Amino acid sequence: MDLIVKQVTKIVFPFMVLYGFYIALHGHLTPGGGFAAGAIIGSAFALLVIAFDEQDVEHKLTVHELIDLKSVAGFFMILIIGKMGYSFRAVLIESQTLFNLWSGGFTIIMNVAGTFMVSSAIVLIIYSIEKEAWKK
Amino acid sequence: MTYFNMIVPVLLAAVFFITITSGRHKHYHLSFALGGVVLSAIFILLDFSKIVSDKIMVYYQLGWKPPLGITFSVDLLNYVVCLLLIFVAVSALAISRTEIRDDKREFYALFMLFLLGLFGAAMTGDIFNLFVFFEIFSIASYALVSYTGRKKAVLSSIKYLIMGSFSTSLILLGIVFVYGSLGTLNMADIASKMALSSTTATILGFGLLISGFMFKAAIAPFHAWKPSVIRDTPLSLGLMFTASGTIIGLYAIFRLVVTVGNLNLSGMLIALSFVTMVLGAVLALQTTNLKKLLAYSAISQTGYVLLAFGLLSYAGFVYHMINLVLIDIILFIVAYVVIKHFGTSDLDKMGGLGVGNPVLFGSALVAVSALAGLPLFNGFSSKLLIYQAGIQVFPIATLIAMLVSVLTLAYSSKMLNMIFFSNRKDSGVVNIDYDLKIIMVTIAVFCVVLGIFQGYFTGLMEIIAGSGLDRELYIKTVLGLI
Amino acid sequence: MKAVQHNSFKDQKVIVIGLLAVFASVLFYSVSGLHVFGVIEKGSVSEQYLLEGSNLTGSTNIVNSIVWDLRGFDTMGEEIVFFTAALGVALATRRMVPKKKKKVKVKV
Repeated sequence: MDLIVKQVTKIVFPFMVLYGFYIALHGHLTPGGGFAAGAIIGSAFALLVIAFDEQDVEHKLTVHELIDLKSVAGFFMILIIGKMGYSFRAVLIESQTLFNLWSGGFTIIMNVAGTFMVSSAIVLIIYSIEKEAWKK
Repeated sequence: MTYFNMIVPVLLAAVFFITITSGRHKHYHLSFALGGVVLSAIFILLDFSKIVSDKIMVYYQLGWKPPLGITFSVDLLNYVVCLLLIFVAVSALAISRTEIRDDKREFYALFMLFLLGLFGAAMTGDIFNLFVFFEIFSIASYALVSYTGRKKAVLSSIKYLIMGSFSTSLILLGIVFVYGSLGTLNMADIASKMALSSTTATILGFGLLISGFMFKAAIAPFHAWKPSVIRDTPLSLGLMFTASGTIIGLYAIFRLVVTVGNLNLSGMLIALSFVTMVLGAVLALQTTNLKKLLAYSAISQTGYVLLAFGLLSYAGFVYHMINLVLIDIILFIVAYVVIKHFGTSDLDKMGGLGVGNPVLFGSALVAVSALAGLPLFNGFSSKLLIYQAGIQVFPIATLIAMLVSVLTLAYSSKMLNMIFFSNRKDSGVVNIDYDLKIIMVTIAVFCVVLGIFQGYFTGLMEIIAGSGLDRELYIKTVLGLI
Repeated sequence: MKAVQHNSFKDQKVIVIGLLAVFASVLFYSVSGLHVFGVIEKGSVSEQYLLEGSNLTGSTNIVNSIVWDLRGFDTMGEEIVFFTAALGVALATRRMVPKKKKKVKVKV
């Protein structure tokens, strides 16, 4: 890609990620949530992958690391969903008031975990396809 | 305290460990996969005393009581399906040990996701959750069909993807209609509301759901994907498709029609089972490709299971489902060993193994005898139940089932003859790995035991099928009304 | 020969359109049996979700409370579907790369 795209990507990228996390953390108050936030963060990384060449990206993020990242998030999610996670829910809700940022009990944790999974899946798909284009 | 709810997290953990292990460590992936399966087996077996005393085990996912949240409910029928899945998974992993050499990481991760989907679908008590788990194993299987990377395999993967997506969308549409008319997704809740407020939409929803599951079980109008898929995948996956995919589809149909819906679909099921049985057997007679023959044979046997269902012989249904899995395991191991020895799956180029391989030949003989329903083998016991039910309800069914049995004997003896005798004198001794040998012989012994102690096992199967028939108990236990 | 083929193709088209019409009419007929849109049905799950959802989960976004908590296990399943699809893409694209050494050893 040309210089303009690269420079704009460098500027926009952190804001996109920040906005994604905003959506994830406000999922229990405003429209959005894990899937939307994951899509936003994922597209930020996808922009990075598309804008820069193989040499620029390869040493920063590899497919294997992305799969690892995703699995870590997934594993995090299982632990929550297993026996221990939801038993804290009653305690959490007790300590919170509705409409505050610190509310939502269990959904806030789930939203963050979902964000990790969705975003890294999108990056993995884009990267796998983009890698084909680099080969040619 | 129940343990069965730990199976999905354990399998997911196995996927996690497989994906974080780098591709350099060649043999770790299989170990993690096997570890996941063994842990699942332990969890299932730990629940044995509980299931015997309680009849139905219930687990509320995330602590939400039904109908609010998602429930896992396991009765004896699910329990048996889970045990069969473990048998299939262990055998498939044993085959894959020497069969899979490249891209182990992706293969085993997808394999475990496939298994996770099957287990989840077997244990869940919520129709949308059932759809989700069906989707998990379907998508894993679409990717796995193209594993070899050959043009044919990719083509059949795409074909399977298109047909499979169509069937999953049918399931989703069915769920929309059921939820829209009854206002709930929990199976027990649907069962309790079914009698009071079912409309045309509910029946249509059930019809769509059942046709979607029939695709997964490869029953007649939806069987077309199976032969080409089995031909192009590695045999370890072929075993997963043939044995576990089929029993999950059949189990889901049983659960929906009998326990949840309490519908009477005998006529339709019998008609479909005739087409499936005859079509599978006739096509198996024609083909000379060993893998395709196994696929057609499995389709034909699925027809038998469906016939037992249609004739309301539920003991026969469970019995033949178990037999189908056991026979398929032996046949696929034999096929793997033979195909590896000859380097081709074309039956015309095989022959002459009968002299130096007593273990292989013996196991194959047991499997083929059981398949054809010869007395003293398990296939006979289950087919006898089907014949008896047929004579009481609908004698033509028995006649057709017997006719297909003759066809089965014809194609299976053709297969046996072409592999072990044919025109060649001696093709040498086949080298079988110890794990495969042990599994093959154990399952063969099971086949004979299930055939000899027929009376005892028939009673057992009646108890197992009876647990799926007891709607009152199911509704009350799952909804917590007791 | 060509004309015959053309005719059979046309016949097939007519059959397909006819089947689709029958299917569509059955669907339209059945839709009348569904619940009325926008009205809370007594005794259904949605009633409980809408009336008690916020208090049960502590989340004021009802959609979020249903998707990520009340039916969170389904959502986890959907995430696994996504994960599976991504792994499948990784497997498929890797396989399409022509290898330098011929190393495909899986015998078919």
